Amino acid sequence: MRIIVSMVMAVTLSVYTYGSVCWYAASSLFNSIIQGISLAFIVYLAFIYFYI
Amino acid sequence: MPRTSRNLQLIYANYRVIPLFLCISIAIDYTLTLYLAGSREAIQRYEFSPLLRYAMEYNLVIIYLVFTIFFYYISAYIVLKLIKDEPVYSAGVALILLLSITHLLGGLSWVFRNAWYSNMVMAPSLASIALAIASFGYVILQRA
Repeated sequence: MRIIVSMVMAVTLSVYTYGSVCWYAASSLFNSIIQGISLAFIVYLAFIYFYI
Repeated sequence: MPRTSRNLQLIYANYRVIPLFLCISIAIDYTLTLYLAGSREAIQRYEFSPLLRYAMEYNLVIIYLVFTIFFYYISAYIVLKLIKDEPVYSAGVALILLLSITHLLGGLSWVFRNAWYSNMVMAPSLASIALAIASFGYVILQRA
């Protein structure tokens, strides 16, 4: 379980970083959605981490 | 030389220290962004990160920077701590270093200011996503 949480968090963290450097549609919703979803998901995973 | 190698091994094995590289590169990235952009308008027009643009708009840059560095440290720390005894630990360290390189190159994009360079910065970012997914797949296959 712990290693799965770690791996999911690793993927999400790299996607979040992609959202901050992504060239495409810099002013559109694309980056905002990527960063928003990733951020929320990482917070959720952090809660799981503190409860496992 | 053996001492340097031993120090590097100690750093590599310490999951509390590796995330600091990411924090330093983020600090350099945003310092370069704020210093080289020249004006608030330039950041709001050319910066990719929507959260930074939002922070600029509402004068929350310092809070945003502190939060971002803290957020990245905690996330990288959790990732490495949970896999510290697993074979994928080396992939985790490589991932954190790739993210650090991405931020460092992203900060330097304000020096070059051209589309070719900015597109090139996406390469380490995409490589980090590929590495994370490949490591995840490896873990799943190993446990199946």
